[in-house]
Amino acid sequence: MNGKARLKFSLFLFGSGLSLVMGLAIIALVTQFAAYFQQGANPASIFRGHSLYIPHDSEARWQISDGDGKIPTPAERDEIIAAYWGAWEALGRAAQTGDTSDLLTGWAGAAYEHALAGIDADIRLTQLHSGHSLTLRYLSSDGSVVAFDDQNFTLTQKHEGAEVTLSVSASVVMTLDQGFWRIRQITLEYR
Amino acid sequence: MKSQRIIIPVVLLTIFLVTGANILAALRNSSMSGITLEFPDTITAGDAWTLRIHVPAGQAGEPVNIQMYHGLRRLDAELMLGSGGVAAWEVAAGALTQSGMSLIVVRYQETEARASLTVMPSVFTRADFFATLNTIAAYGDEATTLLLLPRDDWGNSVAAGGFSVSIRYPDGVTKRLPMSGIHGIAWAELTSGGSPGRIRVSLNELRLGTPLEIQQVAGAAHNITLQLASDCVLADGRDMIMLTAQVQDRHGVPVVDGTLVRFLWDGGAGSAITTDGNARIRLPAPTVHGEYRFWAVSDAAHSPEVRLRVVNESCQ
Repeated sequence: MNGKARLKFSLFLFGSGLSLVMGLAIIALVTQFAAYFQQGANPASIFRGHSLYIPHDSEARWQISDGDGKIPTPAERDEIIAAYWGAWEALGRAAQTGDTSDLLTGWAGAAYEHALAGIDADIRLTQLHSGHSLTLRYLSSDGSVVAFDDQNFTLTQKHEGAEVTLSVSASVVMTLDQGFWRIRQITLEYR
Repeated sequence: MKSQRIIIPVVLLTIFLVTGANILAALRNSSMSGITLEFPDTITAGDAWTLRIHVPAGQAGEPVNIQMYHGLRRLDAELMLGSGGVAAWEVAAGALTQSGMSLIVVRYQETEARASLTVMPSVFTRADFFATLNTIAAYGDEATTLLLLPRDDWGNSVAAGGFSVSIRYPDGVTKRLPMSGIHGIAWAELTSGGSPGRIRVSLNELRLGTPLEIQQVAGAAHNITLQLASDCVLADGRDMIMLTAQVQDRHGVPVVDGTLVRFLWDGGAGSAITTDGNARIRLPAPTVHGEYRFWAVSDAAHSPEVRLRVVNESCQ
């Protein structure tokens, strides 16, 4: 009788353990199933990088110059400078995180290829930029292509405790592409 | 005494000039930090080149660090000094492809030398060539801006001066149009000419795959001729009437497809769009006898009135 009782008790213990494990597994699966249907599109991913942030004067500003072609409206100047600032911000985020998925928001064509080539998967660095001073050189009649110079802005890179501050000038062509201004061509001169 | 007054300033000036020249020469290829850098002044994007570093105080086996800020890239390298404190950084062809002015920073222990390298774009081989408007009104009534973003094989923008385009209008007239340009962008204003059709635009400096085509279309509505299929119907409510408006621009050419035409009559209105210059509308005939007026409007053009008689007995 003793042996039979021990066998029953062993079976009971084994069955209890198995039931507990299976119960937990079922609960986990049901939870995942429920959570899957609670998720909609992620707003952050939809609107990532698309906010219109007009930089402060100390961050970026237009020099008084009309350039060739169309004279831009104040709204056009704001849109262009915001997009240009945003493109550098996206580049900084990519340099810091290695995630380049946001670069296409502000960069296009050959400039995008150059920006992508500049992100080293093995080097994470903090890149700060300020003091952009934009001089308009050309705006197309339909307001979709702009060329400007950015004189002597400051680029600071921090990597493994070392900090380098650079004075840079840029010659830029941006195009309005599917509603977004993107840098299409950029030539940089480090001083 | 007099000669001394002349000689002393001349000697001082000579010393000043020689010293200045030496300092400038030292700055050209190195820094005052004791690190000497030798490299070509200018390279073309994609070229191979060599940076020679000389650290007089350096010992064989000691490291020197190089950072190069090149376009949107940063290149890092560490070299070991050889005997005599010399090291060479061999940069392979295709490694530096972004035009502009790159900055080289070389560090040895606590000292640092900075120098600039000019990277010229390679030859112009490709371009984005497009227009702000792909459809414009004919007869010189409208213009579009041709835009050219020229670049080299590496995607660098190149100087855009001196470009020109060849234009061929639908009537066979050709002309050469110079483009204005600054670094990275060139543009030209193209005014329409002649009758509707295609303007073919090709860039003279580069054979692109397909010439740019600008569609030249008829102008705004100027003349409207309104026709009724029948000028008399019975008031029995069994007839449909058809109004046809032929719409032409000021040169007698049918307006562009899709032009909106508004048909008006006493107490009502309707609209249709043109196909080959004609817009049509079908209406149930009035059931009350009398005379009805119809007319059509498009843009600023009005048609003359047409009249429909509705009778009880017979149209005879």
